[in-house]
Amino acid sequence: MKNFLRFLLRSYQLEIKRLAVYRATLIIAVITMPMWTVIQLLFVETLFTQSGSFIGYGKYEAYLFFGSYRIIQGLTNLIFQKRIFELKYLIRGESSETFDQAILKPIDSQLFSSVGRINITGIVHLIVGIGLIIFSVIKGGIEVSILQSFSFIYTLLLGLTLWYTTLIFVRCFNFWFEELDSTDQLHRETMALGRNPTSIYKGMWNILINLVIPLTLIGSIPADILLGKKSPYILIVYTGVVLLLLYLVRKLWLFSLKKYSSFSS
Amino acid sequence: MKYLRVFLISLQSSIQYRVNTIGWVLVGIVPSVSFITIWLVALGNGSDIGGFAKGDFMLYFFFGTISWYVIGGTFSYHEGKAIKDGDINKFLLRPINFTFNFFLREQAWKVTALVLALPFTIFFLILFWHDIHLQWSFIKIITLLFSVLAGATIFALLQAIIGLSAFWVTDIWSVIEADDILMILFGGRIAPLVLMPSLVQNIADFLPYKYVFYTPLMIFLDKTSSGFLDIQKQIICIVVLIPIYVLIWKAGLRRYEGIGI
Repeated sequence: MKNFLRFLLRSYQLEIKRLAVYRATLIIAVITMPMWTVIQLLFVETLFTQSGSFIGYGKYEAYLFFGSYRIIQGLTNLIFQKRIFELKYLIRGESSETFDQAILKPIDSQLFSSVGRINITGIVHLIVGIGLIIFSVIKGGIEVSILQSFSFIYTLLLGLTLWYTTLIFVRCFNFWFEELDSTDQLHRETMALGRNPTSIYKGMWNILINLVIPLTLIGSIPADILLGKKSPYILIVYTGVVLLLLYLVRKLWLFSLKKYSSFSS
Repeated sequence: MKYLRVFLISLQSSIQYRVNTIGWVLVGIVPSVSFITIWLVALGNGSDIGGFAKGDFMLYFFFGTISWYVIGGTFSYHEGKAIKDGDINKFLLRPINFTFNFFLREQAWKVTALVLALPFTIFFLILFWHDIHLQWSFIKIITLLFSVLAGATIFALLQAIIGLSAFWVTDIWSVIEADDILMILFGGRIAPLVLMPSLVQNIADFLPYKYVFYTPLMIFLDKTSSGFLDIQKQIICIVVLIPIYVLIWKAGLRRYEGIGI
């Protein structure tokens, strides 16, 4: 644990220096990243202009889905997205750094491969997401209790853990297939399904997306918790599901490591 | 002959890494299924929204995705990376057009993706056969073919121009991101433009994005008043974009400094 914390501290120190050199990246992120939220809000506006309400949700309630999603996306970008994204280049041997380091260092390979880089656009997503939540609550006249607030924050953390779990899951495929660039985008598009209301999914999709792999933890369930449309006690079930998925992905990671063949040793 | 070789080599590469290509096909299908679900729920028991019935929404979003493998295909990043890495040097010294090389490589990938998307398309058509109502005529087929060709040309020119911005910017991802945002906003990717706010529709009329995917889709769905007028507008876009591309290419070359040439 001490080694890991030391690695983490050094990595983030280096990352902050890197960000200070390439300041333009943050400036560009500040301009372009909020546009994605504008597109989503425009979509909501179009939907509600044409249909009035949407399966029992008002416009500002629908904004909460996107706000929750943006907060979780922002946190993933700040904590582990960038490192896990670069992992495929390490595995393929296309980077100056190799995956050998993950195996040879006295740090758990999964932890080493997950953290240490910051995607600065995460700050923008986080601010936009929090702003959207606050705006929706005020403009929509939504009353929020203390229990709902804490449950909302806890649900966001569950969503963050789920995002991490699914990201490691898709990254494991890079140990098995040489050329696999589509997994990142496919993961992003699949996670976006979590922004839709839970009741939109019927039949086996309802069970798959709301329970087995609860993608809706990314967007709609936090919103439902905040709105009081779902009881906070349902989080006990979701905690169990997310912990189980975390355990299974850990097993898959260790199994996939055996497929790795080094380029330099 | 040399361009045929480029195409065939790229085709071999995309066939070899077909799992990756299947992944990209799914990248297109997942959001289209999501949009179809949302709009059908919004439609509920109603007959239509803004003139779009159940079958229209299905066809719009599903074939909007499939049209990517006919009209679309991004190569701006690879073009920009070649400029940034200096790989452009070898194209300047050889009798092969820099932009056309990347354009052709992407066409090879599209052929593979189209073939792999075929089972999904057949499955979709069988599943929703009763909801799909399309009228076909010889005029419509010819109009659609011309519109698809024009849309593909506009898209390729936009990609070429975006890629060449690497002569001036250090981070081409930001330019690509901005282009993607504009395509989604004004290209009818999240909803048919006729359903969107009038401000968006008005701006879209003056930008080329509407004429890439949206115009051919409207002709396909018989939602346009005059296909010939739409094709004229697409041709105007092409006529405007070609000199822009030529000017940017020449200006970029004057600015470029290659090591070893």
